[in-house]
Amino acid sequence: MSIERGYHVTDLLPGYVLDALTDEELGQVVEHLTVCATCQAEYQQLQAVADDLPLALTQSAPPPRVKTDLMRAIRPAGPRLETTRQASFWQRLSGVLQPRLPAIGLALIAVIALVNVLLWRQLSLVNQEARTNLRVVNITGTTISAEAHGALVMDPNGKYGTLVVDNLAELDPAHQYQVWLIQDGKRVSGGVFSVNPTGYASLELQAPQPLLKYDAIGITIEPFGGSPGPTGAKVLGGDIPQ
Amino acid sequence: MDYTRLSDETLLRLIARSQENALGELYDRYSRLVYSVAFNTLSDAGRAEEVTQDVFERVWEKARTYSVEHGRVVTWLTSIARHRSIDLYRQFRSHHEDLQIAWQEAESMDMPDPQNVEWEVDLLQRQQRIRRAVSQLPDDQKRALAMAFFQGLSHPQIAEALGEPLGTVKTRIRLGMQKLRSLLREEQPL
Repeated sequence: MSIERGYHVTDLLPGYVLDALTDEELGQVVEHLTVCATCQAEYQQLQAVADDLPLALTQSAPPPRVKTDLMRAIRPAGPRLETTRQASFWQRLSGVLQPRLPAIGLALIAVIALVNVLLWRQLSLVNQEARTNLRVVNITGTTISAEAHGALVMDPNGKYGTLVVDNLAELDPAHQYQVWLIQDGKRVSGGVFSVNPTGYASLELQAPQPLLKYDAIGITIEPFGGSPGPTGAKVLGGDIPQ
Repeated sequence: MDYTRLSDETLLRLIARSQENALGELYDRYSRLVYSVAFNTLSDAGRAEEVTQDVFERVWEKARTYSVEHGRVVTWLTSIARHRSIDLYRQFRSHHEDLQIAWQEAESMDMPDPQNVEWEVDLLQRQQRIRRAVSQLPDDQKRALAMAFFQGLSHPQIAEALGEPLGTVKTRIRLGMQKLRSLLREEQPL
């Protein structure tokens, strides 16, 4: 009995349902729960307690404007009043311009051609600057997300950076992707994000140290809002060259 | 349609079909709870309002992905609110403050009204049970549980914030959760 007791993770389960375990403890519990029906049953009972904890709070209402703002935010933008006024303006303008259309058309073509040349030159300069200054690290999908890919784009000093990902699966509302920056095997969170229906997202990374100090970057699936340490499946990863 | 008589799950089905009134009803039911979770974590009314709106916007966008496997609708909402609040808490707090959680006193609770519909009776009964149970915990256990659950702190972080040995904090959390479980089990409706 004592051996069996020692084997179970009963004492860690209260901390597990409250997300209070260290990474090492968390690993033990996750692994054990997959094989132990006894601890799984106890975990479910404790999880039900944790689920009800918010109901024990004293509740107060948010100001009425929160609901007003919410209902406004979810409504698709409807036709605006200006639309009618703009239509009549364009109708009047069209009446004035119609006799002069051929000449105006030629002038417009010339202007557009000039603007295109200027924009192309500007774009070339920006691309050249980007090639010479920005650091880009490619990130690849793991076996469970082979289609996914991404890039970490850093400033020339490798201090700040933005992560861009594509082709990641959209997650259920209780989960988000979390970025981990790895240094000597220790992981710190770089932020959490969700992808749009096409699997795309971008995120400006938050890290306690310049990004170039880290050896690698990884992305896992975590509960909404993120975890203290990685708990879910890894979907993307890559090394950060120094 | 009288939305107040619909179950939470039915409201979500209607929200998934972009029915604004259904979202309005779900908001009326649970905005106080969601706001309270956020406010107790963040101690900042403005940010708690931001989280509240954010949670219900997510419900609007994601209602079609909800399934009963996620648990009760109210659990789903508070889970989103808690994780979003903890995320903001980590962004804006440089050190862990001693949390002042406003636990509801067990004796000042609403009683189910005969006019209440099923979802209201269920919610009120669950509130009463957990509030009675929490009120029986010693203060130090309540504080340790709250720091883990609402601030997202680990055992070592709680021990550091309270200036207590790690083993003491782990014991408080374990005893607190086990006592809540046994108290709630005793109160389970037959």
